[in-house]
Amino acid sequence: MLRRELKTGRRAFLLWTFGLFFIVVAGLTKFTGFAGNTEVLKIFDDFPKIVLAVFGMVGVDVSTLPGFYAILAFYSIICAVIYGISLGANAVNRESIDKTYEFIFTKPRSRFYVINIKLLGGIIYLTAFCLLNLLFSFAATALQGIENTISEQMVLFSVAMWLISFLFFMLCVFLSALINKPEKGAQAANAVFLLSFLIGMAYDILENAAFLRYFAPLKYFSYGEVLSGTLNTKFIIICLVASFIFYTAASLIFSKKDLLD
Amino acid sequence: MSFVIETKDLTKYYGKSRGIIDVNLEVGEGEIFGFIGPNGAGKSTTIRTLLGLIYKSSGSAKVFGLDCEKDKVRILEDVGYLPSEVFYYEKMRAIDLLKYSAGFYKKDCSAKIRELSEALELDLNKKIEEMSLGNKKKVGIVQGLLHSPSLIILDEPTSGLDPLMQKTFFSLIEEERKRGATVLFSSHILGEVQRICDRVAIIKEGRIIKTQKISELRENSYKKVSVITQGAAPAEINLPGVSAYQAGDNHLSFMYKGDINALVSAIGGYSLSNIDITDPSLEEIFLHYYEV
Repeated sequence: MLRRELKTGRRAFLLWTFGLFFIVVAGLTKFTGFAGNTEVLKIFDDFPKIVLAVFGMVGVDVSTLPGFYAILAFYSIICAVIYGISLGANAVNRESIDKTYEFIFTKPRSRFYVINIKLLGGIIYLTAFCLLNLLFSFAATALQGIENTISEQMVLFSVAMWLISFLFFMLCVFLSALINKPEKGAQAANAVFLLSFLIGMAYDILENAAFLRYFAPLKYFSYGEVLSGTLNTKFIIICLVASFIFYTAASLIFSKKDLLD
Repeated sequence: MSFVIETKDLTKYYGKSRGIIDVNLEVGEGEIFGFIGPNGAGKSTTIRTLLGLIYKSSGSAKVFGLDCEKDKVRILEDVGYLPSEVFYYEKMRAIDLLKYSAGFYKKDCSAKIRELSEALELDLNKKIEEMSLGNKKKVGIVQGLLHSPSLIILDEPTSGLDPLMQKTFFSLIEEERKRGATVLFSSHILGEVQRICDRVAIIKEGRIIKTQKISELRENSYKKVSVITQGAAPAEINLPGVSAYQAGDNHLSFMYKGDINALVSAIGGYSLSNIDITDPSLEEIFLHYYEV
């Protein structure tokens, strides 16, 4: 059953991987134009802070490899989150949307088993996506002949990517189980993500708004912390505990809900 | 006596909407049990409750003496199900889908898959997305029977099958019964239930309104008679058992219950252009017989 789940998600994975490849490899290709270019910094300094916040560029020096990579990592993480949401929605609702639930859920397996296999398939793809992010990052710097001084930080960014996208994956699993209309689960999760993105912008722009960080997973692992070689333990725990709570709630709801078209 | 299927006051509401109310069913081992009612009467709701796809609001539902909710996995090991609308993974070939289905059971199903697909003339190498509704239905039949289950639940199984395939399908079900399987056969077509079932439960607006042997149903069975006369149609026919009589210029129609020879004699007294004697639709039966 897991093999079938993986086969089903293969095409989408390849498409998302292509997008990631474009962000990381094509993005790092552009670094040579930014490296040591103080003129670019001046241009960015003239931008309103809200614009920099939208592009995740607040407090980042894009003329250095760490700063430039941090921006790319921001986009890669957004990509991973949206992919995670789609994986979560598919795990819970694909069979209902395709109306194949009368096949799979009348086989001698518990709903808990079926949904866990589907979640496992999603987690495997999400993990592979984050590992490929790391691989692309190493490969791109090597291909461009860029001296890679941030190997450790690249690993940390990929771990952060996994934690944040996993959180949204589980959030979407929970919302998809909770909402009775199968198509609405991913919509709700995307809406939550958009809201958290806006809160993250507010966190970047406003002063004395540290509490907002709790509601903005994209800001859980700040550039400064990651580039200094650490992931904030508190937010690692928040990610994992919240994911576990979403998973447990989703399992309970899904095992008790009516399966309908 | 223990029953393969036993429901007691089984009730299901979807929010405030009625699903089924106080459904009591007892299906014995080796029986082919018809479950008949118009669309929306509650047949699929009952079946989905038995299969654990939806949860009852109240009452009880047991299969093989086991609770349909608590013991769902054990029950499903020995149940084959054909849904009314067949949806499978479009990109899969039929053979791959059937092997995937077989993988859920602890037995080798390859011989049965071959035997059933040959009987139904099913091309196993075709992708599901390339199949007609009838062929998808055949895939559904094979996947429902491939593990030789003790209980076979069929929800509107003949829709999409041509008459020849329907005949083959009924032969397959008879074979399954000879093997010892119990069959719950849901349909809105009275004729096919009469053809194959031992007993029948009639459901209407979520409630079982009658459970009876097919022989009893036949004794009470109505015929729908439509006649075109060469001259003016008679204003009435003096024949016991005639109801819902309607006459136009040169045509008449009515429902009839009684001795078919008396009917032929009575109609034979007129000069006719055409005559149709058919089984009434279920809706017509409900209208004229069960509407009390």
